[in-house]
Amino acid sequence: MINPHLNLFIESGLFVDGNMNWKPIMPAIIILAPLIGFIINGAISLYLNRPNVNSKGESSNGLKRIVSVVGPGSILASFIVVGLNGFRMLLAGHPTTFNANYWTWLQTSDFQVNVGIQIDTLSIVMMAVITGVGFLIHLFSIGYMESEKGYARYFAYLNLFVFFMLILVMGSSYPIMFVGWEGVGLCSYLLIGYWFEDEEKASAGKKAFIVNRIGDLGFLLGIFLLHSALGSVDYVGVAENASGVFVYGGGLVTLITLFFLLAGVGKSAQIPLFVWLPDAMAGPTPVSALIHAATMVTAGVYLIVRSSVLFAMAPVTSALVAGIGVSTALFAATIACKQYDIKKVLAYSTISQLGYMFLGVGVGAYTAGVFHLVTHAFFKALLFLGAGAVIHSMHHALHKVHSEDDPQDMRNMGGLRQYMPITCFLMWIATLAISGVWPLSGFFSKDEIIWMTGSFAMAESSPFPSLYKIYWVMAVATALMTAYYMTRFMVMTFHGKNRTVDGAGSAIHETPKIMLIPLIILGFLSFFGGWVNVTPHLMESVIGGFGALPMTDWLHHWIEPVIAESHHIQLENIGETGHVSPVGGGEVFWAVLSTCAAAVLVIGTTYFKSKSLSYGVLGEDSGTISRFLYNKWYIDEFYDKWIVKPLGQMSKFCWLKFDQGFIDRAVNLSGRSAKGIGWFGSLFHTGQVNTYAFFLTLGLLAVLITVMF
Amino acid sequence: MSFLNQWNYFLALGPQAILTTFAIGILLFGVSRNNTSDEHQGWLLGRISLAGVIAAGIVNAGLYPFADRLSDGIVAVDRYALFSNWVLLLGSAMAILISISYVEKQRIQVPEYFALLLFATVGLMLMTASLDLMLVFIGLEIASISVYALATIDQRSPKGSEAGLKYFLLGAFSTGIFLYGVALIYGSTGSANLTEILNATVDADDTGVMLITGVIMLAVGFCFKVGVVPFHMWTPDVYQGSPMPITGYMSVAIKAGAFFTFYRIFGIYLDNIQFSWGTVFWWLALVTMIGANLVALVQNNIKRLLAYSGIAHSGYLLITVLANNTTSESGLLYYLAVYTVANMGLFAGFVLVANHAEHRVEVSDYAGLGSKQPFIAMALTVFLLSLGGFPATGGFIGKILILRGALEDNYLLLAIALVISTLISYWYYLRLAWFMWMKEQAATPNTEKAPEIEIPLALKLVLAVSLVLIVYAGIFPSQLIGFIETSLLKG
Repeated sequence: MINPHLNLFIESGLFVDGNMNWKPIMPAIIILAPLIGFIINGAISLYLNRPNVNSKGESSNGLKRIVSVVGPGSILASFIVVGLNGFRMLLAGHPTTFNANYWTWLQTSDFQVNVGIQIDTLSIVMMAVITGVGFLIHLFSIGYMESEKGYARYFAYLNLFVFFMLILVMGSSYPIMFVGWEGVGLCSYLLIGYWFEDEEKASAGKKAFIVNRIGDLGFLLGIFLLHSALGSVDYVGVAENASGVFVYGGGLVTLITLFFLLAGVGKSAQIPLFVWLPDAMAGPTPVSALIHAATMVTAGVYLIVRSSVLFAMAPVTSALVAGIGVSTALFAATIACKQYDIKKVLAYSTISQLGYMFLGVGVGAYTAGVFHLVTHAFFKALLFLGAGAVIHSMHHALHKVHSEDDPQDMRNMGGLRQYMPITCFLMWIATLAISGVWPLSGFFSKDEIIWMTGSFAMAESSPFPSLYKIYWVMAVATALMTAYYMTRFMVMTFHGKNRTVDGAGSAIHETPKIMLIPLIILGFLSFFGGWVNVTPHLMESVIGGFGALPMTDWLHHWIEPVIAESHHIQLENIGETGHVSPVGGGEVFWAVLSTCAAAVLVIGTTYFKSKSLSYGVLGEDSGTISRFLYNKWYIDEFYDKWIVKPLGQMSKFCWLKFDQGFIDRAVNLSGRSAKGIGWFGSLFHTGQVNTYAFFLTLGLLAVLITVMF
Repeated sequence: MSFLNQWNYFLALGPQAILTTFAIGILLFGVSRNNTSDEHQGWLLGRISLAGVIAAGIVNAGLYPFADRLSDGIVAVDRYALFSNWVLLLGSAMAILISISYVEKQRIQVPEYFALLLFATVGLMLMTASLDLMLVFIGLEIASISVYALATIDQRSPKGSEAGLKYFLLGAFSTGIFLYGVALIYGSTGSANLTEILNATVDADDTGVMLITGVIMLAVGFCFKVGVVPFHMWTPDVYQGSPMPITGYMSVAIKAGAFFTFYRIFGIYLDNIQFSWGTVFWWLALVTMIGANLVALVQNNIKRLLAYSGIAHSGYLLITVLANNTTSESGLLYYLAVYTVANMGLFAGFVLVANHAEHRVEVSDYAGLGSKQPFIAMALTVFLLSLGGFPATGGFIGKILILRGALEDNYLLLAIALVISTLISYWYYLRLAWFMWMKEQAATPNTEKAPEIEIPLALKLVLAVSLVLIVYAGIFPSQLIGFIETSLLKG
């Protein structure tokens, strides 16, 4: 199947040592390539920022070309090495785990962390998505960011992001993952605030940063607790010791997993920490595609799958994971139904789909979670990039006619299909995929999650059977809602009458080639990407064309070694999962039904929407529920009132009462007294030093009293 | 080392003696020249003091063969003292380097300035090595009085004079408390020698009111010096009013010296009676971490911001005194070393942005620094990240060590408070970074355009060396940790 020459090439001494093990430098290239890209682009960006360079246009053009090569090129380089690693693993037949330790990072009496990487089937899937989709998005950015001022800076940040993201998934222990975890947070913060002239956008970055800090708190505490309990924080050690130390449903493992869940909830924008993601859309659209759809936000899912052994032993946490996931999925879907900003719809849709992934890993379907992560990376990246192309086009067109209209507001669009037919076509693929229409990728991944939820509810001794049944219903409802809002999104953008201001319509043009190529590749992946993980059961049914279509359940076997232990625990404690859904009917039946429902909904809405939408629907929705949804359940206002403001007041209060109160007086008085008889004497009359001394004494007395009594 | 003959005492205090000689030499030079308008005096004297620091460093390295664990004299020549000398010498070397162009621009009396800086370092080094509370007191006072004078050295600055006076008055007050504590301890144990106090407290119980009161007063004296809430109130005012390089020196050297001593006295020699001060320290650490970080959130003056940040770091370090196990002790040493480098590097950048003066000290003055001065901005960002404890910087490793130490002694709540307050602190550290990278300089007509920043060689050196050290300490910390583990008091 695989070219023998390639095989020979891979196994030559260049990459492997005498025992046919990987040389540690090879995997390191994957991480180092984006770092080198960052350094080169960063240096160019710094050079171009010098005031005397700006005037010399021609030299900066040459440098820009270097950036355009180095930026995507470094990611392509890592993708190729990832591919080599992947092939090597495939050839090995039985996927082996590769561990390399480079140096000891931290060592105290009983705490040791090595700087090391672990390449196994799970991390290689993640790496492939990060570098593969990442490369396409880098490519797209060349066109999208072309006329931006900080072109080099943008690529520098983007490379840096990929670097940290790779550390996150390739690290061999939780602390290394934490390094990447913090790093991607930092890059996200930098990239959201990329257009820093805009105050609102910069503050969106801050919001993202703070909310993520709350998650990081959970991560750190989880790591420390894990270490206290197991004595090791690397994946191998945790997997070896976990079942010996923890008991199924025990308090300690529940606490640790709850902390990890908090971390995941922050990073993956789940209830209640999702508020930062819609605001994060302030960054450039390719950034949204890469960081806030395809890679970084899925880190929470990765963390849970990585810790599957722990989560499998904590049924309460797992139920919470699934509950948070499915609630978020439903909740975000309702909001997405009433948004008008093209990126906001996609943002809430992302939150919703991340909810599905959480549901998947919450019901022990770790493979399904990863599967949906992968397919979602394809179709959501495509949707975001497509939306970016639309915004790009709209922006130029509106600019041409000097219109002040918002290029991101879908009420200003409509009928764009005639101007951007290829983009429209590709985005329909993604829309059908995310809606779960057969045979596109989203169908298989989402269906598996919903199916596994149902069968988990029907397991022999499912921990909370009725709860999981509710989850199942919510998941199905969300699936239908997804089809609705995505169709609304497409219809408002591409169909019906064109609603742009006069004359602007004709200025809208098809996406440039450099941006179109990534879209086409992603379209291909969104279509066929789901065929790598189809259960034999489905393959032989009508879904798989009775075995005629080239489908496989490869991914399932591929991921299995990483999560085998958790399946073992699950089997021991809750027994076989059921093979019927909560309301009867087999797997195939529901698969067919869900497709039909989604398809009907998509077609129905298209028909209905294209008729009712015409020029001039710009008015606000008047209904109470519409307004409620449009305002996103007033969650932001709620947080602002109950958390942000009180905290700010507390800080100000501490400051004013305990510190500033004295100081203000002192500063004023010292200014005044300098003119007077002599500031030296007056200093004693300010009351300030006296007050300080008084408080010092008071503090001493307080301390003494505490000790004595 | 035996202290039977006087020569050995001189040897034991070799680094201090060298520095003192240089300081006196600089003073004599000042008297002989009496020409304050000489522009290059700063550069010349700066180099001489730097040479003094380097000479002291060489002697310090030469003392390693003589290092014993416990000496019976009143001066310890243990590896702990030698390590603290390294940190203090490093701090003062950096302070000297960032002072040179500052004193020239500000026309400060240069000989006194550098001499006082060296004297302060001598005092701190004496204090960290002393095994007798009286000698601790003497060292502390040498350092304090030098710094009081340094705070007021710019006589044309009323703010500086006010700060110096305030520092002096409150410092005198806290010294009184400190001395009272020493007296009470002496009264109850019959000695001011730490080893004898250790022996006298072996089976002390909580009925020894005099001893406990003395210990608490001693602790309060230290808490004042390192700025622990609620004894911190002088810090922001004094930091704000003092000349920039001196603020930097105060924030690292005084804090480091005091903490090295603090740990030696409480973590080792008063460990027997931890029942008396443990709870108090627990609360002080908690209040300091949370309080200082909260207040720092709303600061706009960078010197005040750094003052509160410094207070917060005192809170973190107080945990190590409390937990006093080997991990904690390594944490303390590691943290102080990294903190010294990061904070001094930060002040180097501040001095540059302020253009060797005392203006442009608001956070908003840093807007657009990233595009105008990317090197400075990048270095400052790394230092800020290190102070916040971002992974892959030295500060992260320090925090991890402190956390581990706290958890080993089951101070879980303090560990959680440390993590939470660290997360809060990210906000204000990154706010400054955010201004540097994310904001353009406001184009208000009434403020004149910021002058072009010219980086003198000395400051370039400080920034570059600090940058390398911080990143190195974050990525390859094991060597430094290994070295620190040989320098511990707790073997």
